[in-house]
Amino acid sequence: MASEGIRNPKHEQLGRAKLDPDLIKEVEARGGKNAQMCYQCGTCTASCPMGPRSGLRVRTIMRKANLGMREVLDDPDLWLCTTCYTCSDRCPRRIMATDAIIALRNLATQEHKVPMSMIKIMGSISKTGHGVPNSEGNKKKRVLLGLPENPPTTHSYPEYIKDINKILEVTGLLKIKEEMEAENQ
Amino acid sequence: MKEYNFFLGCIAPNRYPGIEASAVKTSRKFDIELSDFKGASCCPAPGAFGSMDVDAWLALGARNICLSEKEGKDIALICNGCYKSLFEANHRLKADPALKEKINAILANIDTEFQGTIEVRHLIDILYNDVGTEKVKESVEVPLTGLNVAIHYGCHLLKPKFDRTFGSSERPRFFDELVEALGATSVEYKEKMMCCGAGGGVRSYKIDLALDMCNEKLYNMTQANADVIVNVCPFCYLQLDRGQVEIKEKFGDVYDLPVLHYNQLLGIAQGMSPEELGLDANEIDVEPLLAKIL
Repeated sequence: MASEGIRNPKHEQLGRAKLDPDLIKEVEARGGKNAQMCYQCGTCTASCPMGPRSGLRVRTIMRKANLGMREVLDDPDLWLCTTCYTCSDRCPRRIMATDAIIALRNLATQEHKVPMSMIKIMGSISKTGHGVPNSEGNKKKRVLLGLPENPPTTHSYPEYIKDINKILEVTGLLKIKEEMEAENQ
Repeated sequence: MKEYNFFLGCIAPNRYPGIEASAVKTSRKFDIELSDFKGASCCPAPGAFGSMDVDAWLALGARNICLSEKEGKDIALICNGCYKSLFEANHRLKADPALKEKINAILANIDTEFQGTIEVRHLIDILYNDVGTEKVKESVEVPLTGLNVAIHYGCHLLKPKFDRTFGSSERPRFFDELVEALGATSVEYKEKMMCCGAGGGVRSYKIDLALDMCNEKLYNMTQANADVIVNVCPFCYLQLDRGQVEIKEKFGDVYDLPVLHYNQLLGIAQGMSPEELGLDANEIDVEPLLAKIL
């Protein structure tokens, strides 16, 4: 049950009806450990290789998450982190900011705010077991190297794919994929 | 002889099979057998897949680990992305009983249980820590003297450092030592530890930004007179190799800097032919590089 949240007149003026103090708890529960410890020093933003060429600001994301601003889940820049973990390794508070971003992406996925490029990768894994499946041209290259046309993975043993789909099903991901594919048709 | 289940991942077997072939062939020189790992899947891709659901990412990673647990074999792999997925799933589930219980509840649906009985190793870790640079040096038949190598460690091999065993992620040395053991020179270049730009799903989401980062790395490498980029991650490999073609098309910058996996460089030094190492699968022509060393 989401709490009432902290009302802030300034945010109401900006159209932000309320802040959600549970957001940061959700982030921590999904792997963004100690995210509440952030004291906004900015080492993360300063270390980020994506920052200078885009709108990605890790410190801002951490602040918004801590304030409970759920609109951070709509931010397209959330998906520009390459997960290099430089910010996490340098954080003086030992916060895994990268894992906090991944946790926010998980929450965005629940709300169908995940880019379709990610859903496509899931679709490929669901169908073949591989995010990047084999190709006809590559099969020829494999044979020239003395390797079998297909590697001994799910490509050679497709009977294992049903277990993968079972995991996608029970974690709710298959449903999200199907719903988003229908929405984006 | 030490035998491992060889976890292939996706890009090595399905895009650059020379990486797979060279790993098997070069490892045999050290009495290491990389065996067929039946039924393994995508690790799954940590950035793209973990971003959708961390628990599903851990459960799918654990499914791969459990297949090897049943055979009682440790896992060896050759990709930093696979390393993040499987090494982290393995050691997190071993260290955190509550997490193990949570993931095992998912795995119960496929009659599988994570036990925590095996190890997950990156081949570069096995080469450095088990084989050692001295034995690597002894295996060299064609010393790569005069070859300037720009080493790209790749992020998920080293980071997050608290989830790894390699120590510093700012100035590591072990990969440099393994390259130098072949007679080559590891050149220092600006922002050496910077990401290639491909991870986190960014390459498929906003390729121009992924390539902009890659472009900066390539520029810094050429400024240091590198003859070749050597890495241990097929996804970085794809970004650095195919990325050069895309960067030429999109931004007009040309580098023509060949890209090799460490196992391919090791294979050349061990006297193997470029054909048996699959170097012809690369976008960027390796001929100028071979002309320099062979």
